[in-house]
Parts: sequence; structure tokens; C-alpha cells
Amino acid sequence: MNKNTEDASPLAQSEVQMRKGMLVYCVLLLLKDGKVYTSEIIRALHDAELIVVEGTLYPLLSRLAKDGLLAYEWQESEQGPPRKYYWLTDPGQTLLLDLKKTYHKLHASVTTLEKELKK
Amino acid sequence: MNEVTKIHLGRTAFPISADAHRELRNYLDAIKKHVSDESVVGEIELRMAELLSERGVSGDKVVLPADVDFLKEQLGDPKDFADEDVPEAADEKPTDTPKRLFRDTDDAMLAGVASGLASYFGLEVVLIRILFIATAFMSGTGILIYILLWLLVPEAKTPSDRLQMAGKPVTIDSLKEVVERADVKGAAARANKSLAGPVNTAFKAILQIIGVGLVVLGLALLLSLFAGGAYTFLRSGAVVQDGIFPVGLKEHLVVYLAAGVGVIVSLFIVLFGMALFQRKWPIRPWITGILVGLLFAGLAAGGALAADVVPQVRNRYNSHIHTVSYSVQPFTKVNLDNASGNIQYQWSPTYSVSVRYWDNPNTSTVKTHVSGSVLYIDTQQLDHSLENGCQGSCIPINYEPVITISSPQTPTAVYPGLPDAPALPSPTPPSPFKG
Repeated sequence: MNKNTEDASPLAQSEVQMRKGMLVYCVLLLLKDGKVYTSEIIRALHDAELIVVEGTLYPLLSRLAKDGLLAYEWQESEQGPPRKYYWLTDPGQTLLLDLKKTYHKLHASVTTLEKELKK
Repeated sequence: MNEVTKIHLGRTAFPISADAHRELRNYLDAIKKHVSDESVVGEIELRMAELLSERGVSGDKVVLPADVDFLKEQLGDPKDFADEDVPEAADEKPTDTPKRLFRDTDDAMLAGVASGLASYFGLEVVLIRILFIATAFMSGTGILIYILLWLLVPEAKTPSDRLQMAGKPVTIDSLKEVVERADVKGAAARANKSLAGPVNTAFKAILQIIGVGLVVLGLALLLSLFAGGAYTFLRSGAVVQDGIFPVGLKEHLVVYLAAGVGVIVSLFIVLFGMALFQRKWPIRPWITGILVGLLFAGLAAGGALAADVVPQVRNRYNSHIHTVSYSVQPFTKVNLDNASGNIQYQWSPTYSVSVRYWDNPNTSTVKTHVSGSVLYIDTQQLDHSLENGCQGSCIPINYEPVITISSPQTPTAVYPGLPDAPALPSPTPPSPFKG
């Protein structure tokens, strides 16, 4: 209950939305160069301060895989439980490029806007 | 003292303290409410195993509540696991969740139909039960409705079913409440119902008595069906008088189908009696389904065949009936001292006596004569040897002759030696004067 009221603050909400908007792009970006397993994705996103908790990522990955943007396979690991490796499918690659364009456009727009306001 | 149990995360088993186990179980259950995909839950469990190993909890090390807190911190709130694209009913603020009708087997006397209805309509259970029992006496309407609802209404199995039954929103918090309450629910319910207690006990006792009665009745029916069936079978299968019914394959089929339907109905009586007694339907649903299917198939086939067969049987029966009429002199009194059989009176413009009999070839055995305006009927020489035509368990044909006395006016009966003899049935002739 307390968490709900916290999350409802305008700043927190916008921030959550902003992060979520970026998350798909960042995940695709991480997988650009080949197979990566779940924990590595989590660590990278965590280190980049893009996610705080891991929970958000599991439904995202499963949905991307379901939509055919990601492919995955299970591999045994020497230490610990088996790992799920993800990589980009062709539609995934296309989406990555599209999102990249969108992101840069957005970035440019925001930068322009910020500069205009400084004047 | 803290007990240590085991939990499987992914494919790894971890020793875990009892309180940590409870906490982790709750956490996983909460996550499952948000994650529809079973494989994702599996992945999350794998990740938990991985995080625990990374934390140094592996091998014989026991998972403690602090470790579970660490997992929660890493993985986040259960609702973080919800996929944003899938609208989550549980997340919305449900102001008025519609109630759903379930059978409340937690508070059941029999199958929870009444208590489910009580939850649904917000009434006292006792009221509904009394209503059922009252309508049961209206040629079984209540029983029929109860059985129908039993078959149609699902049982409230999960906590979320129970919430929906009560019309409460299904949220993580409310679910938790139900689960936590479940441990003491029975006790609490019993304590709350000090007033309803004796009534419930009485209900149970009545149900059990009725149940035993039904089982006995059903078994008796089954037994008599089997005994009758075996006997009839040994006697070449006559049900009614040899040569009348059944004759031919179709009619035999009707008999077998009727017997089969009888067996299934008796079985259901036994089963229902058992259900009343142990308050649980005694056989598996699919077997019930097969029995109901067989019952309806038997009824349909038997009904169709019977419709086909009945006219033939009636014709066959009628072909054995002979009627002979005797014209007699006018009479005002009737003496039936020597007459046996079914005596009837009929208005007619003329005086006559007709004898209708079944399969008696001797037509002259019924004597009638009128002397001194008294009609005497004598059936003493009627051939009674045929009366034993039905040997055994079959339904005998009535060989008694039907003697119909016709006259234009009501005769008075004369029974010498029987002062208080009953009068002949009064005729209702159309009055010739009015016509």
C-alpha cells in the first residue's frame, strides 16, 4: 500500500515510464553482438542503472521472445543452474535499427528543445 | 528452535529454515499471480538459485529469512513482474467486483449448493436450506434443482474463487488474507455459528437418515429388478401373459431397455443416498456422465420403440376380447347371487345384458333369464380354467368377465339374505322426457 502511494508521485511515475520506454531498446542493444544469458543482461542493465529490480525484466524478455524478436536456448553451466541464452532474430535486428533511429531522433529533438530554452 | 525443510528452486534443492520457507513461498505465489507464463516462473526460480549461490548460499548452507529478503530486494515487488502490455485485473481498483456463483464446499452440508447460494444472495444459509427442503416435498422440485445446481455450479477451489464468491476483489492482499485465514477457518466458522450449530446437526442427521433410506430403497429396487429379470428370462421372457407382451424382437428390446433404465435409476437412488450420507458424490464425474448418457439413450430408444410397439400390443390384446350380448325381457330388479365378475350398469333404450370376456371360448356359460321382472345372471358355469394363464411373475390378464346390464330405468338390486348389500351403481341416463 505504501509503495503504491510512493509510486504515484508524478516524478517517480514519469521516471518509471521513461525507463520502461528505453528498456526494450537497451535490451536489444545488449544482444546486438550475440548470445547473452539472462543474468548477464540483468547485470549490464543494473550496472548502467537502467533497472533497479530484476522483476521487470522477466516478463519483458518473455514477451519479446513470444513476439519473435528474440530467440533463446538453454545451456548447462559448470557452476550453478542452467542458463538461458538470448539472441536477436531478424525481426529483432530490424526493430533494433528502427528503435535506434527513433531514439536518436528523440534525443536530437530533446537537445534542440533544451538549447532553445537556454537562449 | 527453527525447523529446516527443503525447497526446490529450478532443479536445485536448498535446505531452508521454516520461516524463510514460508516467506519465500508467499513471495513466489504472489509473483505467480502476476506472471501468467509458467516458464517465466521457472526462470525466476532459476535466477533465485543463481543469486543464492552467488551469495554463498550453496551446498549444506541453510537459506535464512535474510537471504529471502535479499532475493526480494534484487528481484523486486511481485507486481513488477506484471507485463505492462497485459492489462492486470488485479491491479485495477475494483470498486464493485461482480459476485460469482460457486459451491462453497468449506461450509457445505452436502455439496455446498445452499451455502454458495447464500453467499451469492447474501442470505442466511439456513434459510436457503429450509427452502430446499420445503420445495423437496413439492414433488421433488427442490431435490431436482439441487442436483442440477450441483452438476452445473463449479466448486470454489482456489482462494480467488472464494473471493469472487464473496464478491471481494481478487488482489494480492485479499488473497493473502484468505490464505492466512484458511488455517483457522473451520474452527472460526464453527465458533461463529453457535446458534446455527444445532440446526446444522439436525440437518446432518436428517440427511443421513434420508441417505440410508434411499440406499436401502435403491438396493431393494436393484435386487427386485435382477430377481424379476432372471425369473422372467428363465420363463422365456414373458412380461404380460404369454403371447401378449413381449412378442418379437422389438418388444423384447423395449423390455430390456426399460429394465436397463430401471437399473440406472436405482443406481442413482443408491448413489444419491450415499452422497447424502457422506456428503460427497461417491463416483467420478466421468462415470456419472456415462451413466446419465446411458440413461437418456435408454429412455430415448425405449420411448421411440414403445411408441412403435404400443398399438400392436393393444391390437393383440383386443383380439382376445369377445363380447356377447343377450336381449332380455324387461326387468326392474336384478339378482346377482350367482354372478361374479365386474358388473356394470349402462343406460340403454332396450333391455339387454352384454358379457365381455377375455379369451374364453365358451360363449354360452353366462346364463341370463328374467322371471317376475327380476333379472338373474349366473356365471357359475363360466370356464375359470384359463385364469391361471399367467404362471409366475408376469402381469396377469384379468379374466373376470365384464358384465354390462343395460336398461332404460334403474333396476333395484335383489340380494336375498344380504340385507345391507350395496346397490348397483346409479346410472346417469339421458332422460327420455327431456329429449
